Amino acid sequence: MPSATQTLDSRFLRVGDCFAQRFSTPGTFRYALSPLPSSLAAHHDEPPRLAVVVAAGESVADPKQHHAKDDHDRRTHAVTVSLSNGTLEASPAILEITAGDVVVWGPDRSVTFGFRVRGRLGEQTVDSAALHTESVFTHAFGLPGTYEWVDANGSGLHGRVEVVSPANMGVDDVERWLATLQEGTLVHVTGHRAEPEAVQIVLGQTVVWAVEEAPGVTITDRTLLPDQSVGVSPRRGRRSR
Amino acid sequence: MPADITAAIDEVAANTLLHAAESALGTLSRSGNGSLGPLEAGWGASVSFSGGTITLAAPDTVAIANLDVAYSLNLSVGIDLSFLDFCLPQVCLWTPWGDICTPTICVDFPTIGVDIPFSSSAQLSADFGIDTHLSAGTWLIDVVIQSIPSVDLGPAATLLLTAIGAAISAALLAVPFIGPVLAIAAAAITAAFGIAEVTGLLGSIISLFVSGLTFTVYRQPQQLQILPATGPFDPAVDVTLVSVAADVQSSTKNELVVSVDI
Repeated sequence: MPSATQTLDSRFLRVGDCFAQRFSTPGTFRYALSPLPSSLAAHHDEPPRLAVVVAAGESVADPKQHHAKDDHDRRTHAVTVSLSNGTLEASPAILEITAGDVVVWGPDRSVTFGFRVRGRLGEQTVDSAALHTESVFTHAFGLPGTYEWVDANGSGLHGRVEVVSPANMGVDDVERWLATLQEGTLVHVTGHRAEPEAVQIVLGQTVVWAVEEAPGVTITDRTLLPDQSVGVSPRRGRRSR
Repeated sequence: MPADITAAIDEVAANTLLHAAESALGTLSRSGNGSLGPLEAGWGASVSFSGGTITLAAPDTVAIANLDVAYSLNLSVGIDLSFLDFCLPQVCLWTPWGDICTPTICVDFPTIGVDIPFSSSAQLSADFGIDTHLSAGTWLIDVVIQSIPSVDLGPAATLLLTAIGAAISAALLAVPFIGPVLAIAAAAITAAFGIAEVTGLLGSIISLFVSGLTFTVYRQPQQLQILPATGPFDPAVDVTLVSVAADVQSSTKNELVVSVDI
């Protein structure tokens, strides 16, 4: 895993990243995987190459009952993105789910460059490079340092992740460290605010950004942007290793 | 039959010629491949010679003691880190719309290239023979090393081993997810080779430069002008050096004697 794949940028999903979307509305989500910031690659009149077919869930009159049933029956589905003959492929290519389920896209080790998931369900656009609502981006941090992140689309959303490397580990300590990697850290994004704004994790752990009611945001390392004051007043964030 | 021209230089003068020849030889450069234990190592090296003291011994030995060999080396080693491959476990986390679990993510560690620059020097002492020959219209008197001497590379090898370890550790720092196991990885890699392997590699490289080492201590065009031209009707007068020979002769002192027939 070359160090270039360790950049924190939800616009380009790489090994160590995941994008997840909850589909609450029945319909067919046709989408494309692309390394380019292009326009929609799938159109309504074309046969879908990649799709998530969302079936209606069982309707429930009582909202409380609906909530309880929703929690109990909600499922998470995994889609593996791989690179085959220079083309990004999704497995399964056609996924059938029930409204309320979550789909998680994650690349396997064959994917050597960043890509985005982008498509449409009815009038709703789902784009891993512009997170709106009921969207999740995850990133496993492999290098120590302090990561100041911002929304590359300029909403003012920002935060900080401090990654600490356990030092001088012996062979016995490695097992304990591997066990800690099962623990994730949640950053809840609502609109253009992150809660908590700053988190500290151990190298190898994963941060999960859960986004709702946002105007299409990204989670991008500030140092990757040419104008590092995107939407916020300048902050002194230094990568220290 | 005595030579037409005979010239003799003592050891003091011979040392002067030797040092001038070292400067004229300049810096020699070569590249190649070797091994460092199980690791393949590409290298580029530059070597220059200086100093040394000549002792002449009849009939044709020029012994040079304490010749300084200054060298600069750049080693390139490829290290396969696949023995560290591991998988990030699944992470399950609560979100406002329910638990979400990431898939297991397997990390493939790459093969990294590590460059190790290194400079040091050594001394060697060896016997050289005398080789006189005509080359492109010029008589050359060369002293040529007769065998590859033993060179003490122990201290330099120790420093090089340290430099290799430091370079490997620095290169590993840039590899994602290796931080917690950096010390373990570095130790595992450097355990694959030791001072013997480093000394062997260093020795093989230096030997390439020392083998056949030749200093040209004297050169003379075959056509020797003895009188310059003084006018359009009085051209220059040349003599042709038909043969040149050199050996060491002992009388009151040892001298390098050059005999020339014209």
